[in-house]
Amino acid sequence: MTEAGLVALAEAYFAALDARDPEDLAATLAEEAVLSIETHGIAHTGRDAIVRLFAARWEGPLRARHHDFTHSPAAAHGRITSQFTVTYTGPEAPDPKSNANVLTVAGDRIARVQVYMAGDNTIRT
Amino acid sequence: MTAQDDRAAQIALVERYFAAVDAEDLGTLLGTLTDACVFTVETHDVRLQGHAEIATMFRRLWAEHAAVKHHRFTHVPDPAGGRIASRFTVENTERDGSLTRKSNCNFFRLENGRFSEVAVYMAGPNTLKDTP
Repeated sequence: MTEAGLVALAEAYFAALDARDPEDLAATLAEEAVLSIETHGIAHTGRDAIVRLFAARWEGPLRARHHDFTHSPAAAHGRITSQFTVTYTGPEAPDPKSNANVLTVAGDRIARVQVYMAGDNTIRT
Repeated sequence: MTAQDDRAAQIALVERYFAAVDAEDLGTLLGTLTDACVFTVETHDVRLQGHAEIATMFRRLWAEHAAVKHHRFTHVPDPAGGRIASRFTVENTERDGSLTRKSNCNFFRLENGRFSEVAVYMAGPNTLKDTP
């Protein structure tokens, strides 16, 4: 995948999260994808499990928006890192966070998502 | 210089930085940073600027631990963007001999072969303190 392709894939992933769209989210993930929240010692394995994780979170009133990205694609390594701000809206919304993800790509999909998150874990498990 | 050389140079600079941290070699460590380098611990709201502030923070880290070790790196170099990110495991030996392991990720911005920004994302309590 090209570096432009890596950026487009990362942005499609975050757009699906912001839109709460399980089908678009699934389309960015490899079947055996692993999502880990490295700062909180949590891991979920498999595309379906990851989509279920986010779908459960989307049932709540808290909405998240990912923005102000700094992407660093490394096509030769099959990875892209993305630093960004997460802004929340809804009851008892936390302050905006500076988060970072490391995405590892296999083929044209994300095979691994490693999340580094400030503050409490907002991807409830 | 090829793109592969550029990536290798970025990785070498990151590994020199962490080797200096582990060796408590402040001179080599500061040599990897621009004079006005901004060092943030994004997960813990810490922002330092310049060699003096950053040196104080590392002296505190070294004083509070028997040893620190950074290893098992996964580097994501981006020479075109002037950035590199590195995931790694931190193994801190506490003063009582116990070990604390963390999965961290640093994002570096480069200017003229040195780091002008270091943004740290750290699991668990903050060990890079800006206050005693």
